[in-house]
Amino acid sequence: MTENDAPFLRLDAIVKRYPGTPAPAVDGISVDIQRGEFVSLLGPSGSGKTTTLLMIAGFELPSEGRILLEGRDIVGLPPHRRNFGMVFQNYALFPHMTVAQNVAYPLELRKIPTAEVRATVGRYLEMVGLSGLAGRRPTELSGGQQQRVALARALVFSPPVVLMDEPLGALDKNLREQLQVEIKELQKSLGITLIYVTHDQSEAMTMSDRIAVFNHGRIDQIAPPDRIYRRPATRFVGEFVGDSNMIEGRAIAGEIGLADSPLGRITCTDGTSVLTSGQPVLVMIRPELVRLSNRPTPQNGARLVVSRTTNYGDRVLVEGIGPNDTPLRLRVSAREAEDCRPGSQIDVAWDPEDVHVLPRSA
Amino acid sequence: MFNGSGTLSRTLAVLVALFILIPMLLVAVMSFGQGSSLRFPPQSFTLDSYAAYFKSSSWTIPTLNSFVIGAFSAILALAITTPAAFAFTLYDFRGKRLIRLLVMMPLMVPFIVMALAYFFFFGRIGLLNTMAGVIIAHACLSIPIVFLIQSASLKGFDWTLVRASQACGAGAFTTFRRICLPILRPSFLVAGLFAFITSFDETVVALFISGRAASTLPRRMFESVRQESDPIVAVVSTLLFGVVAAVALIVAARQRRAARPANR
Amino acid sequence: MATSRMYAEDNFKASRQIWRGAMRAARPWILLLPVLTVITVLFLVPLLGILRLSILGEDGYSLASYATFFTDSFHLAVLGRTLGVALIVTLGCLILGYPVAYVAARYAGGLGTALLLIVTMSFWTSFLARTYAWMVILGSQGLVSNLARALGFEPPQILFTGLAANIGMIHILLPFMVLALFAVMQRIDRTLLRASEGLGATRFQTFRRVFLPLSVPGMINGCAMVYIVCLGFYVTPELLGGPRDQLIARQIGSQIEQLLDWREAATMAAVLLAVTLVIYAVYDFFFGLDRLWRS
Repeated sequence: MTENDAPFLRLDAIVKRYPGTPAPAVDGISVDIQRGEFVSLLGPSGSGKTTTLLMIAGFELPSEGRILLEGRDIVGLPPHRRNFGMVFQNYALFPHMTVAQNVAYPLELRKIPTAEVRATVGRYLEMVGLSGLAGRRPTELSGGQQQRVALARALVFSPPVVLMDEPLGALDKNLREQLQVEIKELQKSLGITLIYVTHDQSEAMTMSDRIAVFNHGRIDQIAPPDRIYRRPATRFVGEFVGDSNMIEGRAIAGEIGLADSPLGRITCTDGTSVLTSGQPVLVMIRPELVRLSNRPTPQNGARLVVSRTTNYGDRVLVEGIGPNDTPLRLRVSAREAEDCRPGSQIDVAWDPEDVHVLPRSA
Repeated sequence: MFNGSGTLSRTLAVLVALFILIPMLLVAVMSFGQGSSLRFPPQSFTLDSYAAYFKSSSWTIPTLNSFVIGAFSAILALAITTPAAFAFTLYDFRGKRLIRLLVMMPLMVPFIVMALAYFFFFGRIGLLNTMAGVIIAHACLSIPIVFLIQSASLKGFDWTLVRASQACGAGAFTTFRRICLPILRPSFLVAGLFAFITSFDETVVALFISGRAASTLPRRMFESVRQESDPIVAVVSTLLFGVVAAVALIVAARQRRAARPANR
Repeated sequence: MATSRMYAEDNFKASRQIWRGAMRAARPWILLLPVLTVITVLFLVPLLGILRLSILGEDGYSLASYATFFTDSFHLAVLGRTLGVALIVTLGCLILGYPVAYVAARYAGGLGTALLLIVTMSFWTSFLARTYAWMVILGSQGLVSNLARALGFEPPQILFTGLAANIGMIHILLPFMVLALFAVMQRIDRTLLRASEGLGATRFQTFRRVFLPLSVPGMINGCAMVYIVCLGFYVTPELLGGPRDQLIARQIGSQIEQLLDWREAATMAAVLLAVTLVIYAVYDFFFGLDRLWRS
């Protein structure tokens, strides 16, 4: 294997066991990450995403497996020799140093001449919009400003890989969205390879080139956001990312793209080729892709009795009961929702392209 | 505390405070007096005793000894105990409770018992009546207080800073020197100061093991008081009280100044 | 060739990982090594040395010295007096210390701060200096006696009696008590007191039914600390007390000074140590020692 073929960063069958715990925290993870890629590790707490990040950073040793950077195993390298930038959830700024000293710290450790350090620090502080605050102490900054300093400190030495562990978790919603955009832009313009841990699916969706969805120490799926959303590989991914209707059914013998379900026959145009007839399947339909229909639809539609509506302002969530007591949710506009009073009957339909079928494991 | 305005409780408190304060003030008056160290009020007032203190080597040498012993035993106690405080904060290991008890032992054993123990032990290994002996004994007696202070401050230390420093490219030693040490410096100073004062004020063990050669200030004071003839002991007491009072007032004033902007 | 080299490299890495794992396990013990060595060699060995001394008879080990101690009425009287004096001093400190801590905790700023300042200054001032102060006050040429003479009567002997020793010890240990009480009282939630008064309790009822019970932990801590220190107190009773009011620490001290009976001194030290440790054990059983050390 030559270096050119090798992916930039490769996690090869990583396992992490902690003594005294029955299940491994990370259970055989393999990921290839390309140079300049933004990869999010998404999952609920305890799913192994942070442990994976700590192993990449070198703060935890994998029990098994290899971590290859440009084809070279770095498992034996201590964290400070890996040359990775890192941003922590609680900022982890050095309280006894000023903003400028914090950002200069990695450069000083690399024995860069003072004049150059000063210039570089100034450039990066400007990049994160903190030029005027170079002399402040971290305690004199707001949470958002502190995280910008941490960002500058992680980027200032042009590391090949930057790791972020829920960096925006402690900030309020508006600031979080603003910083999401800024981080994404910095990552693109500097061409950084970024691995980003989060439990916030919308954050992962908006920022990432690819998302790795963690579930009990394994990666259920790693794919671009759009694919994760529209074509989840497992029920867990479908339910963790976004809202979904999951209907249990069976593939129909001999007819590709058809499933038998409590709601009748459902056609889909994707993912059914691998199914054998009679195989149990899950049919996933996103609530926002179900629409009101003015006539009954025999296939890819149902008649519902509305049980509840919840107004979210921009959209209204309508929950109804279909044939065979099957619950179904849909999102409609406020105007459409006027016809959906609890107890009333409505007809709904969806497009075959929006239906996703995945295998149902016992 | 028993009536509406709390006058009784405040009166009682002030009376007790006077009981605490007046003896110390009396000594200050005594130090400017002339004649016997135990006659009050003194017949006349001079600074003779102060001059006598600074001229008398039988007082200045023990004073110097106390400073040297205090400094060395504090440094020794810090150096020995701080790693243990790190171990207790960073790791879980078997026998933690027992070892903690062991480390706290010097605080639990009465000093008079240790005085006898060290008298006997140092007599056997030839450290009786030496500075080294007193330094060792005082360092041991300071271990618990240093341990408590360092543990408390390490418990409040943000360990992700260590990771952040390593991620910036610093090895263990650089991280300790540039991150841990500066942040923990106040705690080192406080622990060192407590160890120093423990030694500087310690009388019982020093009384029996320091001998004439390594006599400490408390030992010299003890002897002087027992012989009840030397007015210099009032001078030393006043100086010691004066230092404490000055430090206490400065700290109190600073706290008040620090608290004021917060109130606004 | 290539595979075998890769295998060797893997092997090397695996062994390094194992070594790092072992280092991680060993690290706490490396950090603990200095303190454990010093405590063992320079603290436990001397301490056990005198315990050994106390059971070392002319012909082998025996508990004879303990039998002597516990049958000798003089020694038993000394032990009993030590326990009793410690109790008196502890109660004295509690009675005097409580109002001070109460006012310091309830009237923060102004008077409260001033009280704390005085207590803290006393706490840090050399206790020899404070002992000496009481010699000046209580001596035959001292403040009290001269005051009595000025009022026209001959003062009784106070210095070099048990009373003088007790006053001195109370004065010296009072700051411990106040600070222990204050640490607990300071944390009593003010809104509880207001709630009690809002429910119709008078100030005294609020004090007795709410504040006092909540301050009990401070009283226990303070009393435990003062009692323990008092048991082993040597200097102040030695300087202020009389020759007839011997306490156990003074007995040990005079044995060392006069190089009399080593075994007897060691036995007394062992008894004092045992009594002290029993008190610690009782405290630990009910409250946990950590609470005592936290203050």
